[in-house]
Amino acid sequence: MTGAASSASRIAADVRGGRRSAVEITREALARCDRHAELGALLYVARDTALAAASRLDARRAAGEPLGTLAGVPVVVKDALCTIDAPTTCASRILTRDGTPATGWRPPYDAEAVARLRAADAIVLGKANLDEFAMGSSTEHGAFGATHNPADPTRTAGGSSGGSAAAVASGLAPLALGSDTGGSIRQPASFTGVVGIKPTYGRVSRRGLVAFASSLDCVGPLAATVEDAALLLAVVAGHDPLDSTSLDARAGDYVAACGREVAGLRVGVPREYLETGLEPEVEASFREGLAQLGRAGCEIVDVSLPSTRLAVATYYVIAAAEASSNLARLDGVRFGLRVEPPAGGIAALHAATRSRGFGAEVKRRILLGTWVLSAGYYDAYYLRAQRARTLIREDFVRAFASVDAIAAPVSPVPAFRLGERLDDPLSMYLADALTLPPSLAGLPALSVPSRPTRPTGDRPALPVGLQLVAPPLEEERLLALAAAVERAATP
Amino acid sequence: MSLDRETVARVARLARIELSDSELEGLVRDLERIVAYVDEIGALPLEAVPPTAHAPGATLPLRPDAPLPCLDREVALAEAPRQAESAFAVPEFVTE
Repeated sequence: MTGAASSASRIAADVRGGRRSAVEITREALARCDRHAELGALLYVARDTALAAASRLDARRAAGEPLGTLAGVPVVVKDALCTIDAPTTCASRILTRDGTPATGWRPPYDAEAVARLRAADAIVLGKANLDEFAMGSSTEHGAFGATHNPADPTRTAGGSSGGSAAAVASGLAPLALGSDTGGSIRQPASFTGVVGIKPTYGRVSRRGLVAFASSLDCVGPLAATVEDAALLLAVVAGHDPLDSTSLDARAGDYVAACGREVAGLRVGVPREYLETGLEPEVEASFREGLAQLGRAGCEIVDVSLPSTRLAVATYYVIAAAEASSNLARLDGVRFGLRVEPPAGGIAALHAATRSRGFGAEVKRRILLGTWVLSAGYYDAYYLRAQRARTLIREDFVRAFASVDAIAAPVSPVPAFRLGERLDDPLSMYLADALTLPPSLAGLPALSVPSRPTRPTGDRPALPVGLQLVAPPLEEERLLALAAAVERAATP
Repeated sequence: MSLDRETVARVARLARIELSDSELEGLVRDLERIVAYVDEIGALPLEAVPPTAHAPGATLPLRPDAPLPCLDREVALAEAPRQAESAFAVPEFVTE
């Protein structure tokens, strides 16, 4: 896209070398945010704080101080991550005073991933739109409007990190942070034609990510190229002693991994994923991506993940249960919206606030989650879903005994039209069938653009992502494979 | 298992969410379909399978059992929609 941001590594090198100022880069990025406001990618543009940070960075460079790996790089942050100097709303009225993003909650700290961005001298450009509390697959379920897909504004950008994906795809910023609970980085990356990585569960700190489903939530990067995504992953990955689920594992050399040889790797294709009613153009794109991996020297083999069909039901029980528990903290007392009923005490205060503050999809999931955790149903649903989760995880353990990675489509369809699935929550859930199993197993997975769909009479060419999945902590292998797909797709 | 109107209304009370009649009707319809779908895991023989509560990985280290500073009172209260006497204000819920 013309006028788009250059690559993150290029910007950082230019700023460190004094060829461009961080203020100039920030001004250009802010102008792009204004120009593309109609996409609805951002809920908040951090104009003043971004320029102030850029100006401090330029002063430090002038004083001869060394600058970080993301020096002067504009980064968009999903609005489920806490930022100390910008409102944090999760696209929900309940985290605002009066229903507008500008009156959103001001967290008393930065999310750990955001703090690491700032420590690397990145510039936080703004907060990206999402489905309310990250519950959705289309970025239409937020309180402040939908995000449009830059490839076709009548279509969704996917979700829930649709704002982050659209911001990168439209060139507002070269990098964005998103979160992925059941596909919320990979699916919007696929729909908008960018790279999106869901790291191993625990690889990136969740501290300061407003919790949706704590046993599944992962923070991860979105970028225009595999190398830029690797650069951002390298900044945010690593142990955080203040997140009890953070893995004490050394982060890899992710940028170097992008140039690593992939010849000889065995890549498995789960046959069950091809039986899920893929749109023919998506399947054709996927087969071309496999052929590219084959030409790069990978051996493509058939594998079976027989419990795949359980993933949607398992996920929606577990995620809803965890969400109903996590969202209990939103009660009109400590932050955000408070609706005071005329009488009825504290229970009435909670109910009045939550009824006004939450949107329809969040209420649906809170009720489902409350029900599956309630007396008499816990064993029948929640405990059973946890048992089914074991089967899904064991499928991958068996598969990875004979293959190094798994390749699959991200979504059975390309970006669908805005509004198309809003009246049918179950069909929206079923669209996540191919991204849920790696989430339930805690595995690293990513989406890298493969060949777009061919244009037809009423549909332009639409981006399609190829999903790659690896064993725990093998992000470097994923990046090497994704870079091979990217090289083959770039003429 | 099907979810009737009364059950959804009871669960909504547990979750501290008030629903209008039309919201309740819509939710009964949606949740019936969703629960019918998730019932497929209810039909499987899973008793012998151990549950997974958490994505497994390396063992999670504990940090040293040492006190760390916590938020200052003013900071913690800064975003409270109502406060009284340097505390979060709530309607009276304990009576003598």
